[in-house]
Amino acid sequence: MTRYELLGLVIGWLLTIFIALLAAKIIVKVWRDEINLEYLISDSEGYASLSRFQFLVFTFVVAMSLFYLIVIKTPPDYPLVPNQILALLGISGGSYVLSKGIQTGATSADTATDETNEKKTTTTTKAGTDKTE
Amino acid sequence: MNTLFTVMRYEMFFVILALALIVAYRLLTGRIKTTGLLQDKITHEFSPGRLQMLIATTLVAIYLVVEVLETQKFPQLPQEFLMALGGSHVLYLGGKSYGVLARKLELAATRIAGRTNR
Repeated sequence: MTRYELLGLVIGWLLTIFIALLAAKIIVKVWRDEINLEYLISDSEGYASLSRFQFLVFTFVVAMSLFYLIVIKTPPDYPLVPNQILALLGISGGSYVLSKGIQTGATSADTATDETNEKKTTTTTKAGTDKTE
Repeated sequence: MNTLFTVMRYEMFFVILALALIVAYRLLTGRIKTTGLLQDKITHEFSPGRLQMLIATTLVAIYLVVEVLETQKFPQLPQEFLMALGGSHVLYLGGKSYGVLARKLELAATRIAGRTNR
């Protein structure tokens, strides 16, 4: 074994141990609810978001498929990812971003409605007080 | 080197599997909120657009997994497939935009009516 092969092996083990510890820590924290997943697919109002759910499903499906395709080869090799798969993730991600934009638009409309109603109430109350005086 | 590869394989396998199982378990037991997944956010009624997108998502995910297991490579998804999925998203986003637009128009109409009354 050459010096460089030994270096590669040491770096490989260090990375493997580091990632294992990191992943174990995350999984334990998730399991103990120290990392709260309750609102994983929810929007800011607490309702479940379909675009977030879709993003979650595609992420797991593509991650698992990628892992499977890497490990079935000896030696392990990174597979070719066709443009269609990237387009699939792109459509999902793009939809999520657009949906978020629309949601923000809706929220600002709601805020504007609340402000208008508040102004109306204040004006009515003021008018009432003036009449009494 | 072979030992390292084996350890890496098992490590990644357990990480992905553990995360997937935790998320799936919590989704099924309701500890991850799914309230309103198929409801329109504005009207709070059942939304067929959301249902069709959920079905499209599930079908594409199943197709992808089956193809990967059968051919042992990432599938070349047919163009029509992507277009159908894109169409599904357009329908969903279109419905959502329509809801928001209708709400904004309603707000504008209320304001105009208020000014006219004054």
